[in-house]
Amino acid sequence: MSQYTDKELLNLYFQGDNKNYAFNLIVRAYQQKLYWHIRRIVIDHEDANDVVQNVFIKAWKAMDNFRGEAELYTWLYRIATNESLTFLEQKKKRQHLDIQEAGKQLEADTHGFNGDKIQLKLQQAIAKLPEKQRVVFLLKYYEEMTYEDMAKVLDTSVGALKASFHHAVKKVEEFLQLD
Amino acid sequence: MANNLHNNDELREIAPKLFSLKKENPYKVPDGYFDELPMLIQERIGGAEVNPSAWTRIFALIVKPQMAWGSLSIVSLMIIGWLVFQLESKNDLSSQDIAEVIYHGEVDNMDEYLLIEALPEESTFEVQISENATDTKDVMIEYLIENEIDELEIVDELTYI
Repeated sequence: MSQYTDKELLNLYFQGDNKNYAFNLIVRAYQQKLYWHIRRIVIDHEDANDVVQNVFIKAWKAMDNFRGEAELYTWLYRIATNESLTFLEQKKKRQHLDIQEAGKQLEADTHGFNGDKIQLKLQQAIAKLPEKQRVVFLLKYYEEMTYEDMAKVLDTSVGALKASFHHAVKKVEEFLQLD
Repeated sequence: MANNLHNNDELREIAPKLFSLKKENPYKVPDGYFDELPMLIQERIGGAEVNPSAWTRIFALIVKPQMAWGSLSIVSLMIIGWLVFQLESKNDLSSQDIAEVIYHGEVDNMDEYLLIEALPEESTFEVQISENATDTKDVMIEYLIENEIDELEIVDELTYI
């Protein structure tokens, strides 16, 4: 957990003497949250490691243009989500492997997956959701993000997000109920 | 929190089994990963100072474009020479060939115009044609610029044609 608020981090960055140091604090404050959000989307650790680094590099390059119109929290999540979805798209093209297949491979991945049978089933259910719906589900279920913040992250209306989450939950529940 | 209560009530009603599950993280991460990650990122950032002095900025504004144009000219000549050689020695310059050149970093600066020149005729792009575009090359350049497509995106596009 960071000892600094987002406002303090941004002040340190824009008004401090050492932007590198300030950005390092931002990385330390957000690395775990963003990593796990990305990991739940891309599933594989190596992929998540690549994406999370790219996210922070992108954020670093764009920091000087970040003028606080958005919150740091939603801005970083937005970059992370977009990078994850772009990564999946590119992986799909290169390897002809979509995330549903990756979800099926979870069972074989004893090094990356640490959950019990029902958790495995839940992750497989989530992997079956359409991409954007999956992101909505992950942000709401795991991150407990408000719909208002999610709207900033995904650039979608609150109403659409509520509907999307509702459908996602129903689909996941149906899958969990299967024997 | 009100939002969480709303979340839990909704779950309880439509997804009792999902609601009954403990919300846990089922994935593993290598030991020490989060200690190393900030250092990996710092290495990639390179420790470069982001906020240069005014003199550095003036220098960059005046000198760097000239150096860039010089480099671009030399590299462009090299690309043209290579492409002409390729065109003369083969019937077709395949998309894969172009992608290989770009992807393996043989080209540091890419002029989109040269790349378009080398593309096979049958390559297609979805473009929005502006009033001023008079030929397909202008249209393609406009598309690349407006959509901020960099060379890696072009590599992807060419690889899967």
